[in-house]
Amino acid sequence: MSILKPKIICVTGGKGGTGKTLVAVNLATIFKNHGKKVLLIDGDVENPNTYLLLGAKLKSLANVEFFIPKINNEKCSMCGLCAENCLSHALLKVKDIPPIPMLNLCSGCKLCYKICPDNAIEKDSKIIGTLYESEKNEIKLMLGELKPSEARSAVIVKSLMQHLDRIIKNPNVMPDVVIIDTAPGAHCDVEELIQKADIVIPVTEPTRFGLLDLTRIIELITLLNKEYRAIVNRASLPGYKEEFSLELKRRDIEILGEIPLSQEVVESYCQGTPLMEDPSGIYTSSDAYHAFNQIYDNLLKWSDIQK
Amino acid sequence: MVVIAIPSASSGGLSDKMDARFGRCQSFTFVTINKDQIKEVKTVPNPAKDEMGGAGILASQTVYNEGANEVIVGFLGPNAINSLKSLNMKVFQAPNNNLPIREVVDMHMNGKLSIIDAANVGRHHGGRGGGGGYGRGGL
Amino acid sequence: MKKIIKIGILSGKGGVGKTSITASLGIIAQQDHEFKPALVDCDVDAPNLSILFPPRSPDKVDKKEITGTLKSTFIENACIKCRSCVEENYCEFDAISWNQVTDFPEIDYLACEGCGACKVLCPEHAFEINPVKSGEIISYVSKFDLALTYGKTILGSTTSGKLVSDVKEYIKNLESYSDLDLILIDGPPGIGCPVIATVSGLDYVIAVTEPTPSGLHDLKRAIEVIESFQIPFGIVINKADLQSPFQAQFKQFMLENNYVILGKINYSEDIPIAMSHAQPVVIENPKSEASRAIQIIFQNLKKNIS
Repeated sequence: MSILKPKIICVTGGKGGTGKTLVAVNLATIFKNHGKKVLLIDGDVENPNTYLLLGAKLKSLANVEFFIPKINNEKCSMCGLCAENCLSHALLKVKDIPPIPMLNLCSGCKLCYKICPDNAIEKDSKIIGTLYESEKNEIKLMLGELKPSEARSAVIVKSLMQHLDRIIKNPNVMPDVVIIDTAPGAHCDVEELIQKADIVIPVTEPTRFGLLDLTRIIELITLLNKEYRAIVNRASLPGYKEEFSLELKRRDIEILGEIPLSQEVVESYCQGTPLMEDPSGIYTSSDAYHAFNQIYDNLLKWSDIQK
Repeated sequence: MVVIAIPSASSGGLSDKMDARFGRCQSFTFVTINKDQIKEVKTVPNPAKDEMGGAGILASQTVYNEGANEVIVGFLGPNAINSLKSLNMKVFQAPNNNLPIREVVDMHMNGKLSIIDAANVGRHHGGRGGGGGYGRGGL
Repeated sequence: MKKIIKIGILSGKGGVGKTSITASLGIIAQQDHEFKPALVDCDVDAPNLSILFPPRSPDKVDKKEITGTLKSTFIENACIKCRSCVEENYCEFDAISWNQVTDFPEIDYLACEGCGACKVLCPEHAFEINPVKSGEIISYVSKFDLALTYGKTILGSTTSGKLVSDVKEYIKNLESYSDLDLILIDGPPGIGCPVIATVSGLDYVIAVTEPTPSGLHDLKRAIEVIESFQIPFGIVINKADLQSPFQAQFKQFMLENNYVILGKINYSEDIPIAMSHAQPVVIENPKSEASRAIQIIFQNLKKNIS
């Protein structure tokens, strides 16, 4: 079993608040319940929430650093070559003064460092975020978090993916299944995570907004040549359900299943114990519990994850 | 001797109107003042006006290189103020009603303008892609 | 120059109700004779406000193409296959790799940040940097006579932040701009570049949350960003009466921090039902509890922005 590469599942959605994290955490739990080694990755580095739903305590894994150019004023001949070539205008350069870095504009391309004819630019760095790890209920978790007021979430995602690569390639720690939770939206962070996946599960809700954003995320998933099947969460939400189902059919969007609105979901969500963990067995008869199990069965049938 | 840079709405000069924007104004008017008298007026087109990004920084470089040690502004974003402060330039706040430059200079010479040392609008975005820029504030 | 009040609606967490609340606040502001509002949707990765505010005249929709992103392109003719670009790691973003089949360098379009390093470093000038289309801005007067302007990214363009800035700059072109005095901006989720681009320059922020652990967690992070810009803000609690074991902790947090609470909206089906008819709830069901709650929020907002 472990000779095979782990299956990487990306849970995404486009629209915020549809239940990506809910699905990611509960799917991870079901796989674990069936004896699989699971690694859950929280790729929503602006607002990682998986650990809240899992009730996990985080341990710092690594700081994520970002390049800062440091000008050595003694070596600088004030030629201005660095500033001239900086497309971000991150180096302020006037006559007779060495360049002044404007750090919030710096892209981290290190071109200035590479072309300085005087070797007067040194590599310095600042911490823009942190990677964390945890383990709870036998699920391993890895998470990245951007520091508030920093803008470059893509750098955190990249660092997270590098760590994932190391884990996947190491037969001693290689998981059977990797589940990646993404941020809402369809921007470069989300793209990077979808790219990593073998299969993608967009989570949606039966509303007009849900449909619009589902269409958009499917566009992105298709652009990246990935296979997908959707999950409809809050499936019992009133008003638009029939039209929504028709639209899905019209667009040939296949679904893995539906999860109804339920008090059990809210409760477990807020308590920090996944519904499918259900330590006291109180949820096993609930509709949501059945729904998740059905989704799991359909997921196995669809992908070629060995039982 | 004081050299004041004023962002100008068209080709500059004392009769031109002040441009409320710093980084993307049409030109700069440089007024040299010595012993309470205007000694010289010079105008320079703003090379940053059509830049996709980093206009505030480029404009700061321009005004410094042309010899200014004070700047009068309308709106000013954080990149521009940080640049001007790094260059040890004094920045003064003018009213934002596109007044004639002559009038603004008079107000300044009579001590009616106050110094500002922080942006009076949000960050002005640079044109880069890749998620590296901040937002352009200031409506 | 007349002062226009710019208010952003943010949350950190997605799906807590920013768009539906912005929509109803827009209508209430329009109905209030004190204000001449306009709506802006800066959630450029997933702009949804247009569903509730379609154009009044479909032939009077302004569209502007935005070319903001810079990307590198490779010029085959100039390449001498020295492989320096890959061997000396010109690209810090791993966007250049050597294609063994074509025997030329290959640029990963999505990874490329358009920094220009390859263009400068390649001794044969075999790389060029050009702006590419990154999105569009759409602007029109909607069926409630409210002007709506929104941005929409082209998938893969990686420039959400810049497009947000372009949208905010664009509204100055609105015909009605000089008459406006209030701009309501529906913001993106998260706290990264597009949110920072939205927040900068605002006069006030409405921070929407819900009484769940992620709602609160993300609110705190959004507040950190708002406070770093020193912009005043008020909180709206959506689904305020949600039956959840987290309510006590949530209430405790609100008590401990003296934040301005603009109002609370209890959970009700009126909002999703209104949404299903593509209507803001204050139009669909003005007497509903939700509508009345949003009216109160607007009154409190007025007090806080004057």
